Amino acid sequence: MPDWRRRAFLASSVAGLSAVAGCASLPVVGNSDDEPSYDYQRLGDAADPDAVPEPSLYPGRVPDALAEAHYERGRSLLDGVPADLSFPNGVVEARLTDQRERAAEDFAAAPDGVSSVGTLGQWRRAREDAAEVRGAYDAASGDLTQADIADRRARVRSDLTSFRSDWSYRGDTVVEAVVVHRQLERLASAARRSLLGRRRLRDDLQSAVFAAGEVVADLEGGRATVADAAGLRDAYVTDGMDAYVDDIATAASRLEDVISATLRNVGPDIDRESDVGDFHRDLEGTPAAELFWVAQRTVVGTPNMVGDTIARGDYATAVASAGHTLVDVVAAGSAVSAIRDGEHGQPASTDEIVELREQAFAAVDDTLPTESGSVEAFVGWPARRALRDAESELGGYEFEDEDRTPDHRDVVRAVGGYAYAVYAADAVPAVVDRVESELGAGE
Amino acid sequence: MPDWSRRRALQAVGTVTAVALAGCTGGGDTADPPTRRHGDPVTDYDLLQVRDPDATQLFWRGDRETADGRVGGGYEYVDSESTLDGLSFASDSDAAADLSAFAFATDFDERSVLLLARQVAECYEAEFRGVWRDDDGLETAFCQQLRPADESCSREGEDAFGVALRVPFADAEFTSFGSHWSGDCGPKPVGIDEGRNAGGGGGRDA
Repeated sequence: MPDWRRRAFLASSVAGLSAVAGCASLPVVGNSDDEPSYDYQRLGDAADPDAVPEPSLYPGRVPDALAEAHYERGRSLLDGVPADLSFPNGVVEARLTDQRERAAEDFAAAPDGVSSVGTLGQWRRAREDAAEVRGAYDAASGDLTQADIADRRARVRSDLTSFRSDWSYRGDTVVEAVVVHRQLERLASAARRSLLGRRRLRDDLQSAVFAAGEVVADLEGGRATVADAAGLRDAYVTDGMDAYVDDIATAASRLEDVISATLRNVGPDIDRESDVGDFHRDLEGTPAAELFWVAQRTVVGTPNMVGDTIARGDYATAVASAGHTLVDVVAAGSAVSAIRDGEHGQPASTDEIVELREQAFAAVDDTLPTESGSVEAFVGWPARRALRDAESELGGYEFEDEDRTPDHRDVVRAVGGYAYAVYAADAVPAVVDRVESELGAGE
Repeated sequence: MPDWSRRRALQAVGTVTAVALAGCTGGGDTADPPTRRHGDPVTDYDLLQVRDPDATQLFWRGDRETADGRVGGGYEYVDSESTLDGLSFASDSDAAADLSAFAFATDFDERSVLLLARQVAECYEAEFRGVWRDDDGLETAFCQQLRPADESCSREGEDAFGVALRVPFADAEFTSFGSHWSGDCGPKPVGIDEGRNAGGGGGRDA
């Protein structure tokens, strides 16, 4: 979603909140005499997870040719599947017809000015869907063999090997190199996963029509993903750029140690076995308890994720993950200290919750980068994640499709989430400084 | 353009459709496979699976159940010849005759027979996946998979599917029976003995 739209959502939701604030006829529901009652309808109406800003991270150019290639290839795949399908097996015929119609919807119009990697990914998935239909159709017709699938797998593997063979993480700056090559690592990882062959296919593919279609789609996705990775890299890298692979790998490794040191010094003194009862007062049903659970969830086990990513050789991803983890560790430390100090009890009123929500949005806004390709863009993610989760809670989105009025528990969870978002946002500047320092940015 | 993967959505819909097409006619069936089975796997069994595209009921106890339009399904646990004598098998069905012959060939001093029946969508094969025993009864598991694209079948058609399972229990006094049906066969688990298949299968040729 474009940034302007999120801003508009935020503005409209805040305006809506203000508008209904003065309406005395709205229901006020409480669970017991001991529990504060809130205007749940008003709070639920205000929530909008899509209002949480999501800055554009990728600073490179997205060539038009990439999405156009997906469009042309997808159309070509679909053109090989007749609209008036006929198979002896009635279920095969009906499902293929339905799949074809659905896949064709995405190809009604050619891509027009695809400028984000997110939209490019949507075109890639549309191409996969077209390949799934074509693969299933070919299998049903007896025109797809195991050898065909093996050939396609070999091609993706070859393309991926070629892409990885000359990868030195070039960039305008080391920070921009992290941002760009993290995106390329994601694509390369996705292509590698496409080779795994999730399902064992029967030898007779006419007996495994739709499973065969899925395998073909995975491999088509792998092929398209490597092509996008190569195309994005070619569009970004110029001859004069420095290679940063060693700087980024070194920073990733050092940041893993920084996480351990930070955990020891300012991180929360909690582990997998910790519980709200450790605070020696009754926190059940309070935002403090929810804040504790969020803090525990986010820090327990996360340092290992960075190590695993380094072991895979995805150094830019490891740097970004280390940045997220450091924000979470510092935020969790602050949160647990505050809980120990007796903070984060029940809000006294609906107005107080509204204020806490606005404070969280303001804190997250302060972390937003002024330009893409900066450390702030990826380090600030945990704050945005916490805010989005809190908005989902306040909107009562979990489990309920129709009735989205939050209950008391949803509101308490949301308030805990807003508090965490503020702590995470507060942690961002120090973590940005440290990540830049370990990367040698500006040197 | 939607930003979700249509393939994932279609997979989910496909699974649900497969289960729905199979029909559910009572007798303790549940549509979803359990995440973990309870009880001990039974490996010393004899199995017969039959299909009949024309039959609505393969066996029944008491009056034939046709008045309310329901098709035959459910289970019968048979631990003696007298119990078996109280059952009726469809006289116009070879599949029902096979089930009857299998049941009557049982030595009830040492073994008993679980008879199961339900409707299965014509375009799907049914596959037996195992039987488990707990203190109260028996639990069976089946899965379905789409028949080959070049085999003729109607999307709306249904066949009567019957199973006779001879298990090594006599005087067990079981009171609980259940069947789990999965819309996707997936890989077979390791460690489950296939038992002895007395012939037939989930395919339409049985």
